[in-house]
Amino acid sequence: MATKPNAIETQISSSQNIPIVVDKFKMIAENVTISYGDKPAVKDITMKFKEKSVTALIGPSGCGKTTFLRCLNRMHDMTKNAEVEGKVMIDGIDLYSKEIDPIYHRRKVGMVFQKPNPFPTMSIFDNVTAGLRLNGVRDKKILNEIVEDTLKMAYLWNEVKDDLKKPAVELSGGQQQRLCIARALAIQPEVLLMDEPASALDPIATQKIEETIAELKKEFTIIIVTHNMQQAVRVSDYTGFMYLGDLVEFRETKKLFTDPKNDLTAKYVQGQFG
Amino acid sequence: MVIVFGFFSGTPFGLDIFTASIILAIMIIPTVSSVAREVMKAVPQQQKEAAYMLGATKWEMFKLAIFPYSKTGLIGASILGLGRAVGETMAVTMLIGNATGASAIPSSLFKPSQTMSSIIANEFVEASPAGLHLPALIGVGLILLAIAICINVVAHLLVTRMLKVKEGAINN
Amino acid sequence: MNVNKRQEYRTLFKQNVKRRLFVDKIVRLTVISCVIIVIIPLGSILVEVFKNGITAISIEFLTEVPGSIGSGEGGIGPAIQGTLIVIGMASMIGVPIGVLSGIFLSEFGDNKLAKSIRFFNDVFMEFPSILLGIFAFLVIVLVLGHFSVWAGAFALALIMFPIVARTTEESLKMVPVTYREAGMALGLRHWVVTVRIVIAAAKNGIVTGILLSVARIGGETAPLIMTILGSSLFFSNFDTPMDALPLRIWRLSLLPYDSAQMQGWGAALVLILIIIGINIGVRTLVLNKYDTYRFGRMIKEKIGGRK
Repeated sequence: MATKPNAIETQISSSQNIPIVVDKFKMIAENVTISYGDKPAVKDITMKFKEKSVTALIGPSGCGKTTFLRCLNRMHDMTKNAEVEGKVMIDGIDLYSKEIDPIYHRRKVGMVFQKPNPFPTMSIFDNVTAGLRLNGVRDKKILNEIVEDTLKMAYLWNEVKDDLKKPAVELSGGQQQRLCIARALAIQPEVLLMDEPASALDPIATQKIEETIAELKKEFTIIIVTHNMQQAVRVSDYTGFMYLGDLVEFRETKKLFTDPKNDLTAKYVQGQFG
Repeated sequence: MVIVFGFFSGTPFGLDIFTASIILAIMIIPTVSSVAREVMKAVPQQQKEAAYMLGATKWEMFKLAIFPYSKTGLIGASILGLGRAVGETMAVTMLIGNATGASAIPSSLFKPSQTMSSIIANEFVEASPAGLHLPALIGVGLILLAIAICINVVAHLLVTRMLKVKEGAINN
Repeated sequence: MNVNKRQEYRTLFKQNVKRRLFVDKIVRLTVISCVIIVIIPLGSILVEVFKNGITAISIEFLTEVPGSIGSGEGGIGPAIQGTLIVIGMASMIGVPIGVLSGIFLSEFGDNKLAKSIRFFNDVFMEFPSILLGIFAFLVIVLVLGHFSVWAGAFALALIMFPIVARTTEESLKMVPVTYREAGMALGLRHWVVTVRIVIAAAKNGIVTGILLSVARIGGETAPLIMTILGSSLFFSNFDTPMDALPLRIWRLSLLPYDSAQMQGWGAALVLILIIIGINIGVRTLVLNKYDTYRFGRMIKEKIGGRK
């Protein structure tokens, strides 16, 4: 298939020269360096994420992919001695500018963590609506509507529709993780960050989550960290390969896996290390 | 060391229930706050991150993630503080005024009174082992013992239960 | 759900972030002011004790027996001596028992018996100390027929050993399991591993626990009333009543004379200095490295301790 040289590819090589096209990219990370104390965990990464696409970050463990993902939501604010340099833009607004509280951005960005972490004392319904109540939505009818919609989007509705009042901890691990996805979707974000969402799950639950991602792609910009290359192939449009804190290669998924330009990438996708 | 608290009143006046209560409050703060700190530190980081992810402020994060998770432990911490306050002897003895007889049942917060431990501390030495005085004081001690055991057992059950939840966390 | 619906939902969100951040700020200020309210009395106790106590202290004050009541003469020599003797004796009883039970709980503590011991140890640790005083009175003073140093040391040892046991257990548990495995791999017996490797590695924690308990019993008054009673003479033998600093402070504070109050402040300062002195002394003798952080916590605990 003859495609035009991908915009994203060209921008990796010369991010400084090409003007930023704001409406095309939902999220842009520019020259991001994250260090713990003196040790840099992520070195000078520039990445642009297209609207309504799935971008996967792969790489051996310890390569900084989770660290990088967390910086897209300012989650490092809570980690002591973690320092983030560079720019992260959502819709052209810098996340790390000092004037704006991260709360404004976190409303636009949902996140799903590696381990399911529903609020244990709350019911399923309360878990999903927790973010809405923070934003002042109290109308019972609308809450019900959003709960139904988001649980359907997370493929959980059929399993739990009869006992929404049940404590969230009584769900199985896979259901808990899909509940966490629903909780993240309920605040109507525009970007969804997923940190190895299937790593703690069995194959069936994993498959359900991957179906969910494929469905969500129609509306959201999704960035997913995974250590599972097959998963990256299955769900993503673009893939970035990271190694020791560097972004080695970032292209369309198919191309990266079939025709890697970099030796390291080639070795990694062929399973020679990692 | 805590006997020093007794000096806090400075004058021989104002020796009443209110003064003693204030000093007791100050004295149990370290107990309550250090246990409460342990308990709140046991809340998994993932819970806090989940709250922040939803766009919560620090206070909202506390309400969403920390408080519900550590509620039992916090109650336990408060009860532990209560246990300390019940058994506290010297500072109370020095401040409560040690009323005896009918006036020991106070009509207001600002009247002198007595506590179980203050009677024991005040009268023990003068009580003669021959009569009923000494057995009566030891009987007071028995009641105090029963109360202390109840309070502390309940408090420890609550705190250990909370800390156990942390280990076998909800995330499978 | 389609995109329009999402947009519609978003319009329902209230623009309330500013207000929420404001609430957050108010809560933060409240919490900080609470901390300040807590620190003020704790700090002012230290300041008051130093300010008032320093004027009372002199060579005679530290070495002489108390003068006649209300004269403002004499000193607290017997009380200082008594406190040191009682702390020493209580430690001799309480520390070995405490450390050994701590070792038991940590090394062999994975069964029901040990779990219930641990639980009751925790409960026992929080007991009102006056009850332990009554216990010592019943089993020693009543049996022997007179107040004695023995009884006082026994009561304080009872307070001491659960604290020592708990802290010993905690610090032994912190020794990485690989240390034990390394010892076992060399073919050493369990007790050799425990004594030579685990305890050596946990030394700092154990010493800290002992010092904590010394600080705690150093300030105990209630159990001493019914065991060593108090006296105004220097130590003669273990079977007689004796004075101790907390008792002396209590008695002085009850007197209506200004001079007695001043002596009370002085005695309080001496008590604080003795406990700090024991801490610094033991730490520099036993530990290779002076651990300022733990010391700071200990001081805090001491001020916040009870009885």
